[in-house]
Amino acid sequence: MMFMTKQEKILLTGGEAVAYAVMQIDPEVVAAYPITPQTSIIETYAKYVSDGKVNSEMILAESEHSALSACLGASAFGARAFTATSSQGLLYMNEIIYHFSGLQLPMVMAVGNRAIGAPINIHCDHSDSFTVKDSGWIQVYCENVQEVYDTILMAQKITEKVSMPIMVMQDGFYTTHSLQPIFVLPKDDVKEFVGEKLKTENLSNTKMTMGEFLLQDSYFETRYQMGKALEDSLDIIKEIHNEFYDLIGRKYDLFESYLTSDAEIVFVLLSSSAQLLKEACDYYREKGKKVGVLRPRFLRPLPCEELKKELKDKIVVVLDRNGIYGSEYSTLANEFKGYGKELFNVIYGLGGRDFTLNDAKKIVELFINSKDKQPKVQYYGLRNDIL
Amino acid sequence: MTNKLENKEVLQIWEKGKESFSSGHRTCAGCFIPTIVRTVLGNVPKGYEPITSVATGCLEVTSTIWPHTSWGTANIHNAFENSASTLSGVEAAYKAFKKKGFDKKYKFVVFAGDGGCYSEDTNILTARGFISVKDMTLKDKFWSINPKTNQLELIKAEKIHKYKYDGKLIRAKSKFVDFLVTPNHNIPIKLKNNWEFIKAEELFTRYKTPFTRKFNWIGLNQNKFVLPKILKGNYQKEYNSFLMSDWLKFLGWFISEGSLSHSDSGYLVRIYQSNKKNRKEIFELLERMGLKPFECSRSVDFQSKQIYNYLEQNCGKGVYEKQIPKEVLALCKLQLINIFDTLIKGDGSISKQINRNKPKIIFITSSQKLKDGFIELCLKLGFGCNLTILKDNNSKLCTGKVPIYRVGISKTALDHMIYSKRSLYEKQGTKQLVQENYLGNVYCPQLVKNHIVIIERNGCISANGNSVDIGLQALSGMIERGHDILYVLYNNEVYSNTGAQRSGASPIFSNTSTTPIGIDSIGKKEYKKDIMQIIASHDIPYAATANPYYLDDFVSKVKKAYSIDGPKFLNVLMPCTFSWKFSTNLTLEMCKLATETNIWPVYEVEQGKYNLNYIPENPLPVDDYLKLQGRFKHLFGEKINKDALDIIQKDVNKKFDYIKKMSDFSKTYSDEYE
Repeated sequence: MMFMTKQEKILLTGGEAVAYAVMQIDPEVVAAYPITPQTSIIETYAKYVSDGKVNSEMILAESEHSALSACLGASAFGARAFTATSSQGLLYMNEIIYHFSGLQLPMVMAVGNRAIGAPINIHCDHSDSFTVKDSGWIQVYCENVQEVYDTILMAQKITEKVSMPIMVMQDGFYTTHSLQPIFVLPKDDVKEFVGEKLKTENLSNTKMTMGEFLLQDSYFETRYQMGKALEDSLDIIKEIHNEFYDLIGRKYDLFESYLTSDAEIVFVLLSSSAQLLKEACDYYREKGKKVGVLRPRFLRPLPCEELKKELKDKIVVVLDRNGIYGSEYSTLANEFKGYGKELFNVIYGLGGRDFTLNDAKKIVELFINSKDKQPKVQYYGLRNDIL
Repeated sequence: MTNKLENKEVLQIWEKGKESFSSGHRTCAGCFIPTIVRTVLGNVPKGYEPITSVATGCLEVTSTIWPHTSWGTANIHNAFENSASTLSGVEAAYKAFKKKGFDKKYKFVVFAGDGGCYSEDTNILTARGFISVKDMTLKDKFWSINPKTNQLELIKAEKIHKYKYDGKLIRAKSKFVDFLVTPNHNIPIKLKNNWEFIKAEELFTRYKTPFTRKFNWIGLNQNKFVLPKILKGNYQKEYNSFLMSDWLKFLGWFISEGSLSHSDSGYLVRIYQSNKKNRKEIFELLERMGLKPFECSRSVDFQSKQIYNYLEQNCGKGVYEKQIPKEVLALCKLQLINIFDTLIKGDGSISKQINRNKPKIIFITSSQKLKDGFIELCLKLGFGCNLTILKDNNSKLCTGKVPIYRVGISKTALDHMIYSKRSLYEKQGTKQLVQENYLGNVYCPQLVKNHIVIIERNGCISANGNSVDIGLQALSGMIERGHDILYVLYNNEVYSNTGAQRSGASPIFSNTSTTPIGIDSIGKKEYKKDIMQIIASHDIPYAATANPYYLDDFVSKVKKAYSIDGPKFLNVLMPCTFSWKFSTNLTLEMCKLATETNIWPVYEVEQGKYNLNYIPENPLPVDDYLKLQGRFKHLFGEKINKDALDIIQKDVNKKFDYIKKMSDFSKTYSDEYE
């Protein structure tokens, strides 16, 4: 079955690709509330529903809180559930996000990363999904539309096997609204890959009480169980990556390494901007500079051991699309403390502040030429004229 | 009020309720929550399993302490404010599973405190005639049989189901029965004078199944037909009215055999008839009506612009558009038979052959509208009919361009059996009941009630004050989307579980932990939110208040709620010994006083119509109820706070009066938009 699947090349935006993948999976319940830049996902899906292309029950909930609650109810009943959101919507779901992982129920959520207010801003940064980084959900960040499509398919398998909910991130506007040619599988192959939903004990086949009241004598253990589930999921994720490779021929890992093996300086960042850093590194590699890029995909669970090995003795520069509020390093950089020889932090692109190839090159140059002069934490591209 | 329940019946309900909510919970002594939950769950109809969602609160916290649970149902607790949205998700997942053949039946119930199908080729009788199930819309009204009264009624649909089906459908065919439905489709059959529903697939397990076409129809009894006047430009004689029977007989002749022509010599209404005896009958009828007819060799004619106009507007133009005017079909059987007789005399024939398989009376037309109207007419008259469509070019009747509709009528063959093993036509070997492979769409209208259509088609329960405030959003969304969920609000007018803080449902001047009495305060300053009005304004199919003291009424409301598809809301009074501060043995007394003082009126709102179920003969003053509760003790101190009590009494009177007036008004209100 190696690479036997006939794939079609079509043009889709990141949002449409999510809807396309979900359409092929055809979950029983899709409950959603619109928010920019996720709207294309649910609008595209709603069209599939009205054209009869899917059998899903689509609930147009009156809020994100209710949307995720409905997904929880559906998942508790043993059904596949899906939702999508961004920014404020993700915040509104916050309570139920913890309920989901606390009950260890599976579902797939797509997030179009968008800055959180105040002040209100609809453009890209990673502050929204970072707020629930430690909620017990599996978090994976995608660089381009092909990866978004592929990851949603794999996510459905991962969430059911691990029985923890998963959220799949992509950059708002940069990826959600970017039209890219991608390879898609035929629906039957998706159905075969994803398979029937893994049978569990649930409300539809057992008269069980879900969401019980736990006192001091038993709550503690549930948290241990959640942590363990995430730890154990690393192997399962690798397994599913291999299965996907056998089917499609595209290899995915827990993180992406680009020219890191002999690099002296490794730039670490998530999602679409990594593409620019890779190009900048190519440019400087031609000049003989030993630079590389490490793009984490799974932020939770974090493959710590492997990352440590990868970054050993290297100078690590973490570019974070998220602010820093009273800690030594920003959110992403904090994950890499102690991994390399030295750790630097660059805050960039908040609220959709554009980050171009030139910016990427400038940053690489900064660390090649004057690394010793660089502060531990710096803001790239801050406008002093309006401060 | 309602039918009195026997003790035996009540005990049976509670025994059943206990299976869903067993003892071992930790609710306070004197708390009625378990009773309310058992009453609701004990009434789940046979064949259904309850599946419940509970909001954070007294009920949840006392009944699900790990590793124990009192719940014998599949039950989910999510958060404080989202029990409605959580169960909405469960209900949607169930609907999705049903499409794939999941065959369990559920009643979805939320407990919160202060929160089978037809194949594509089926036609269904609606107000606009027979339409394909593919063309059903929510604007359509469906002719349906009320299973209690056996009457034909026009009922709205609240949903139109359509989904892809790839599998076996069940085909039942006999002389007068033909349907192709999904195995889980509800087939209405009449067993011993009661309508019951069985699944289509059950037909195979029964040796024979009776089907009936006997329905009741009351209709309007008008003995005069008033002809609309022409506003201007008429210099001819104007007729005011005719005897309805005469008019209908005339209409029958006209629709089947008549034509209109307009020339310089006037507006001519002509009824063709080559049969001399019939011509004489027509002539006498028209003469009796005062129409001054004149007889020709092949027709009877008369002139009248007024009648010409009416016929042109109401009976359709041209032979393919002929139809029976809608107002005629609203009449009672006594009148309808008149138009039936002459329609048959015109376009029909009475078969002389006494052959069991051939219907005795036949009606033929090429107008689809007339065909639909005629079938409706037959159903209302209590005649059985079946339809054949002739499209064959070889038939001497058929021109090949337009189909000819042939309706066979039987006045007597109204009850018949479907035998699961018998062949329909022994020569052809076609069985009456078969399974067919089907790949396509299947359709079903979900009617607001009755659930029996002419064609030729299926429920969650929590206590803590959050449906009125924080839970309102989720509840509102659930109702607006039309989920099939029963929402039971056990209303203790406060956030009891967390220590008796005020909620939007708390009454004015009540002492709660966040509106404590003090130097500057005599308790909560605001009136309580009228949650019933909020819910009623969602156009919910059924909402009602209930009081555990009036158990018969409560039980009948629960039963009624289970019989309705779609969102339902029950606001049940739940006096809380802890928050209201009264002795634990007085809960029932509190319930009684609440309604006897008109503070907790017991009423229902069904599709916007109010119905006050109980009016106390001698309503007690609010003081009798308030003075027994610690939360109002401060109004009865050394000096009785007459002003505050006056305010409370006035508000109670005003609100009760409103409900009474709405209830009286609802009785007289006939919805012209129905």
